[in-house]
Amino acid sequence: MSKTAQKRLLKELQQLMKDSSTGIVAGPRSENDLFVWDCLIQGPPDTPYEGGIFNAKLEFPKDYPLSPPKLTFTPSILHPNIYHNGEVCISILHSPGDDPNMYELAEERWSPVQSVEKILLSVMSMLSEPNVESGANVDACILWRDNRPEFELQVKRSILQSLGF
Amino acid sequence: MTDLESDDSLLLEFEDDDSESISNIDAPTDSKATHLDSDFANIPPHNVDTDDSEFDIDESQFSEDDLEDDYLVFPIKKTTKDLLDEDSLPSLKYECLTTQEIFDSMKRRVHHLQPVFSLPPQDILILMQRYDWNEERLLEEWTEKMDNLLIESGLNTSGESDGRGVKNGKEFFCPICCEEILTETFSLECGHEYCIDCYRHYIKDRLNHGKIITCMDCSLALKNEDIDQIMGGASSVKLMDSSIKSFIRKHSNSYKWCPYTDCKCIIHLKDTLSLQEYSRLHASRFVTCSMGHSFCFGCGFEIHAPADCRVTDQWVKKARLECENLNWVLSHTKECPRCSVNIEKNGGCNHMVCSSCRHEFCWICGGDWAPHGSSFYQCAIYKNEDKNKLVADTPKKTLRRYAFFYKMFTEHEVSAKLDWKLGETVGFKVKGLQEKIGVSWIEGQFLTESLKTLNEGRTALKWSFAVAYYSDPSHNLTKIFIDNQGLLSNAVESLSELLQIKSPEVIMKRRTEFYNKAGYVKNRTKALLECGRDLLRKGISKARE
Repeated sequence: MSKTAQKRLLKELQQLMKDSSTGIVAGPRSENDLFVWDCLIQGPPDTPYEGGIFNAKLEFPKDYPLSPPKLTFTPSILHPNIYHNGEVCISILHSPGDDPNMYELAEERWSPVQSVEKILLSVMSMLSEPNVESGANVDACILWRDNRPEFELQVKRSILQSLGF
Repeated sequence: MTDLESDDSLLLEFEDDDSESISNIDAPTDSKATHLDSDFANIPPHNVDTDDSEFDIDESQFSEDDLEDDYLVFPIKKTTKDLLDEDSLPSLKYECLTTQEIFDSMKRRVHHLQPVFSLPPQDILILMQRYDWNEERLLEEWTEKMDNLLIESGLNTSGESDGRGVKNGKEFFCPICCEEILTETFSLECGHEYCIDCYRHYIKDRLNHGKIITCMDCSLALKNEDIDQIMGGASSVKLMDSSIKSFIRKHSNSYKWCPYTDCKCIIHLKDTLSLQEYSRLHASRFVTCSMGHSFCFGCGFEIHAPADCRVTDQWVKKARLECENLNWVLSHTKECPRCSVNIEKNGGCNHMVCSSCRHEFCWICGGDWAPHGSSFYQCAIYKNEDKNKLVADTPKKTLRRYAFFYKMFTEHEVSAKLDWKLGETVGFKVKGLQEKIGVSWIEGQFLTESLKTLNEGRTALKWSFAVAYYSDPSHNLTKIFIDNQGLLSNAVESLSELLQIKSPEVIMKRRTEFYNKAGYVKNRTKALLECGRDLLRKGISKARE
C-alpha cells in the first residue's frame, strides 16, 4: 500500500511542479521522506489574510490516498476553522466515515480522487470564507461574528509580525 | 468431632495446584470416603457404607433442621409461587437475535416496501441504509421528495445502466495509483473509471464503516452486487453486517449486545416502556441470551440483584477508585492461622482444612470452623465495634467499614469464579454417573441444576454487600437484610461443600441432599433479593458518592 502512496505522491509532485495554481507552493520536506510536505499558502486578496504567506505542514498516512493527509499551520494562525495548535479542520480532510451528523456533503469529503492541490485550494477558499457553524477555534468564531474589525486587526498584526515587522 | 475427611482434594492445597499434589492429600479410594456433614455438626458421623445408614442421615437432617424441613417440598424447578411473585413486575418481552437475523428481517421489510417504490430490491436496500433502516422516515421523505431522494441517495435515475460494471483488461492509466498497466477497471454510470485494484482497496477500507459506499469521485452509490462483483465474493455481507451494527449502536435503547466475550447475540427489548416501571421499583431488567449468558439490560453488567443499576454503578466506581490492590491482597493467598503455611484456595467452599496441620477454619474470618457449622453463619455480619458511641464517621472508620464490605464482596466474587471452575468438573461428574452407575442423563441433571442455583445464590450474595454498604446500619430492615445474608451465606456454603464430592456413588446416594440444599438456597436467594429491593424502595439504602 505504501508503495502506491509513494508513487501517487511523486506523481502529484510532478504535476504541481509542472503547473500549479497561483498562491500555492508545496513539496516534500526532504528527499528521503515523501510523506511529510511543506507548503506555502498565500493569503487570498480582499481578505484580512491578504499579503500574508503562511507556512503549513502536510502529513500523509501510509494508506494515502485512501485516507486523507493532515494539514497543520506552523505557526498557527487566527481563523475560525484552525485549532490553536494549527491543525486545519475542513471537510475535504475528513473521510465520509467519520461525520456522524451528516453535516458535510459527501462530495466535499475526502476521497481518493482528491489531491494536494485540491486541498490547498480548499484551504485558500476557507481563508476567504470561514465556516463559523462548525468552528475549531471558538474564540476566533465569536470574534469573527461579533467584532469583525477587531478580528481583522488581530490577523493583520500577526501577519506583520510573521513577516518581521 | 465431625468426621471431615474428604473424598478428594476437598478444600485446599498448597500453592502449587497441579493435580499431583491433590492426589497426595486425597483419601485413597471412594469406598473409604465418608461424608461431609459440617453443617449439621450436631449429627453424629455416619458410616455410609451400608444402605440404611444413608437413610438415617436424611431422616435425621429433616427432623433436626426445621428450616430445611420447610423447603423440602419444593423441587429445584420453578414453582408456582415463583411465577406469582414475578407478576408484580411487568414481564420483559425480549428476543435474542443475531446480526444475520436482523438483516433478514430488514430484507423482509425491503420486500414489503417493494410495491411502494417499484424499484429493484437492491435500490431499496440502499435507501434503507441511508435512513438507518428506519422505514417510516424513509417513506415520509419519499412522499416529499421522490426523485430528489433517489439522487441524494446516489441512485441512478436515468434508467440506463450503460457503463456500469467491471470492464475487461486494457491498457489503462489510473489517476489514483498512477499506474499505467494492463488491468481490469470498474466504473458506474458516471464514467469515473479506476483500476480494479484501487477500487478493491477503497471498498475494503469502507466495508467496516457501515455506510453506503459511493463512487470515488461522485455520490453515485455502489450496490451490493457491484461490491461482490469487484471483490469477487460475498463481501457485501460484511457491509450489511457493519450497517446493522451501526443500526444497533443507534438504537441502544432497545437493542443491546450481549457483553460476554465473543458472544454475538443481540437482545431486542420489545417494550421499552416497561423499563420505567422497573427503575421505579428498583428492580433490574435481567435478560438471558440464547447462549445462556445473563446480564442486566440497563447497565450491561452481570446479574447484580439485589443491587439496582445505580448502586452497582456507584459500587463499581468506588471499588475502582479505592481498592485496586486491596482486591488482590485480599482475594489470593492466606496463611493457615495455626501453622502459617501458605494456602491458595482452589475450590468454592469457605470451609478450609489445612492439608498440613489439618486445622479447620473459615476462609473469610480465619477463625475456627466449629462455631460456623451451627445454624447461624457469623461471618456475614459486620460488627460495628463502636455501636454505643455515636461519633461522627472518621475517615478511617469509613474506610474500615468499606474495606469490610469490599472484602466480603470480593470473597464471594472469587468463590463464584471458583464455583465456575467447579462447573467444568460437574460435567465430568454427570458423565461419570452415566458411565459408572448407569444413571440416565436426565436423572443426572440435578447436579447441573444445583450448580446453577449455587451460582445464582453466590451472585446475589455478592451484590447484597454493595446494597448493605449503602444501607443505613441502624435501621431495622437493614438488620433483617444482614440476617438474610447470613442465612443465604450458610446455605450457599453448605451446597458448595456438597458439590465438591467427586465419587459418583456418593453423589447418587446423597442425591436428596442436593435437592434439599439447592431448594433451600433458591428460597433464601429469593428472600434476600426481595429484602434488598425493599431497602432500595424505601430509601434505606441509597447510592452516594
